Amino acid sequence: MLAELGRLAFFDPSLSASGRQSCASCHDPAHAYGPPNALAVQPGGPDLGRYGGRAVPALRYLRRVPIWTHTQPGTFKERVEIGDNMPSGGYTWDGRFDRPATQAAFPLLNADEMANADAAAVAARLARSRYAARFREAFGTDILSRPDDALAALGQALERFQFDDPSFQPFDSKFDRVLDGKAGFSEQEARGYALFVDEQRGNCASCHPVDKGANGARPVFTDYNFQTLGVPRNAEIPANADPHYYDLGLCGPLRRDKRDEKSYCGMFRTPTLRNVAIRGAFFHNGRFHTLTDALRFYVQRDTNPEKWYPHPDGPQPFDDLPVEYQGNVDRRNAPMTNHRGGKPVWNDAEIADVAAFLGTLTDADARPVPRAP
Amino acid sequence: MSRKIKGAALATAVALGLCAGLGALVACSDDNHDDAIRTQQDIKHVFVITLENKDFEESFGTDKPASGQDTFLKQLATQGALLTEYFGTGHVSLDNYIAMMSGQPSTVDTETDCFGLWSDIVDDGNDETNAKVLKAGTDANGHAGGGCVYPARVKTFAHQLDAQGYSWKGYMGDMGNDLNRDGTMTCSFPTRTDLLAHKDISKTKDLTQNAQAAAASSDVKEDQYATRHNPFVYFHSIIDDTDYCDAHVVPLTYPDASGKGLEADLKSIDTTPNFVFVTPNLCDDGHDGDGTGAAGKGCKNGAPGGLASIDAFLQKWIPLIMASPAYQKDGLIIINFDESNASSSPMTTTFNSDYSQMNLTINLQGDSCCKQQAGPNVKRPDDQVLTTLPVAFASTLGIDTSKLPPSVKVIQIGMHYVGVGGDRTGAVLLSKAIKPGTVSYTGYNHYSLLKSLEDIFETGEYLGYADDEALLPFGDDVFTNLKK
Repeated sequence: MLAELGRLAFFDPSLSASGRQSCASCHDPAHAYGPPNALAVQPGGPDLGRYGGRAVPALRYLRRVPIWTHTQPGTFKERVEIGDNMPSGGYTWDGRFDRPATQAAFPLLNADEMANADAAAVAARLARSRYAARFREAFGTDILSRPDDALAALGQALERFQFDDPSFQPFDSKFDRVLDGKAGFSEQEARGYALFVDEQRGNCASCHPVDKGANGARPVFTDYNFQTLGVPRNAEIPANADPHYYDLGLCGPLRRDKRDEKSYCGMFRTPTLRNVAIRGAFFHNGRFHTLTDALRFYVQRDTNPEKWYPHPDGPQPFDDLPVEYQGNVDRRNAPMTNHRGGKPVWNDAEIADVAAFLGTLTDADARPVPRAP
Repeated sequence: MSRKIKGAALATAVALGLCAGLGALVACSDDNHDDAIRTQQDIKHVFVITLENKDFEESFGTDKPASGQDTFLKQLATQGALLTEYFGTGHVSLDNYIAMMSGQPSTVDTETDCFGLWSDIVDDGNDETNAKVLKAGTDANGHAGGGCVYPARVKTFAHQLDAQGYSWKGYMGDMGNDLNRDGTMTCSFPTRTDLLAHKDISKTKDLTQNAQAAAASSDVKEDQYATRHNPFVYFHSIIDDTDYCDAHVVPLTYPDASGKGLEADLKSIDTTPNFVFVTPNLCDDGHDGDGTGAAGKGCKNGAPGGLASIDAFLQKWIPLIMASPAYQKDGLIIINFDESNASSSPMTTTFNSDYSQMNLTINLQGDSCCKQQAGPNVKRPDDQVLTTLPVAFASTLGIDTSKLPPSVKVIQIGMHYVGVGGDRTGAVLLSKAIKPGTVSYTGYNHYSLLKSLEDIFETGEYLGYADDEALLPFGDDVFTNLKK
């Protein structure tokens, strides 16, 4: 019941101020509930003339996202010993929501997205929807006269749809068939897989685990931890026209409760890599538009910084982080441990191999987005 | 034998009848002479609860920041015996637990909680100076004197109990909560988990080092079980017989609907093991969190952790144990800590010549008692480099980087082991064989605990470093209410 209500709402553009944008506009089921195009950020707002600030994540495989935590041992020695005990979990790039039900209100009210002025506006649109009666049946006849409760109820319905509908977790990629012994990797995919899990080279699996759980849980290719990768600034994002604006992820400005934790500045949550190969915008700011470029950035960030940053020798080599947070950038985990002039851990052929492996993570029904012009 | 049991059961029933109206936590009257504890060997049910990483002054003193978090534990200390000179035997956790249950000293890996490969200890014979102590060879991590899991010939206190016909169980908080993480609900250990996940066990690492938060969908369960606080699974003599291990190393509370666990086992003497070893989860044992309840300073489940969560755990379980027929008949509760919080010595800092690197050294004082020996596998003093961190990351560990010279880019963190012990932690013992308000100033440590357990259950021999003539078992200074 709730999941069906959630489905109706998910595909309902009348819930937006423009009347032309539903959840599915940015989270298109044809593209694994990810964006339907290669834009770094998606249009929205009352007339669809505004743009969001971050790349749209896909909504598949989110059932296992843990709540946001950063738990540390009480003793300093053990905090050091467990040095990789990073902040972890939560929904969206900065983990500020512990469940989809609470996350749902954000795009509904965000002026750059569905742009409802407030909960009352959402409730009013729900009251005019073709499923208003079913909504009242599920949540009480007076639910739509209580806007805050109606918005929360809508979140619950959307959560149930995302959690319960099989289309959000098909687990029917080639990788899954390989995992089940029903298919095999091509030679190139196998080479890519070997590089992906090699701790001395790609080391990708340290953040994007590939193994099944002991009780059969299929890997979703993320450990849900936060990292500061130092992804270059993306001029395609309108907000970045302001040189003083920085999206610092976990420490804000969108997330407000961790602003004083300076070590969090620049951290974003590791996304799933399932269906990554069909995307046209990579990383939190959509800075790269091909998977190959995204992979090349990983292995050449430190060996060839001039490829990625305008002033690699200046005080702000990582140009999308203020000077005071430059030290936050991950240089501890391979392959982000190389040095300028060093040999990248992968050559172009090996990058192609890893891309081929990542292609096996594409679900059977997922279609690639049109390439960027 | 059977006649003796029938007599004991009748006496228990009478004692319970007498106790029923008391409703108090304190042990019931032992006016019935069949239930009187005249010697330590009359104690037939021992409950050990091991907590984590607290200095004596925190747990039992008044002037440390956390001293106010454990009012219940402090109250318990006045109801039985407070052992003011009880010491841990190592830093960090795991080697302490192993010492308690086997008398074996640290290896290079057990003194660092086996963060590398979960490796077998290579049997390099016995220590030249103590034939009961295993000398460890070079393990799969390449560590001389290293390794995690003892070869099958190394026996534990559990085997001594078996030989005497006594029952035992290790109750592990949260074990099996999430089977994708822990593999099994009973007797969970990393290689077993990896085999279930079809992973290469030559590369197995312990993935239960960090607690796990739950997911909103309930697909992922909260799970704060830590293998390194479960001593029993570090012995091939236990884990190689999985049926045996499954029967003895169990969840504190089963996560299924069976209702099984310690609380159920306490309901009758027949179901209460003679020896109960309780390891709370990483929050309940005070390992995680600082106990203040401040946002972001707690456990994976939002509880405050530290001594505050220890106190909450004890407030639940101590009354349950004390109310059990087994405890009331002939029970002894031992509440100890594995080690101190290792903060008694200030850290030292040095800089390299251009001040780009700060070298931060954690000084592990490692105070000990009872002429504790380092054993054949580790040396004291010793120095190890733990890690090198970007200066910004260091602040996540609580290092105040704002006061450092701006030229510092990285911090190298090392440990300087001074002594072999785990510092003074104190311990509390509760029993009707102990007068309330007993305070002992005798030096004890985890080997003393083992020796005392071996005395109580008359095992006939002492394992490992428990077999040291200089080591005192708990004596008349502790058991102050033995009936004559």
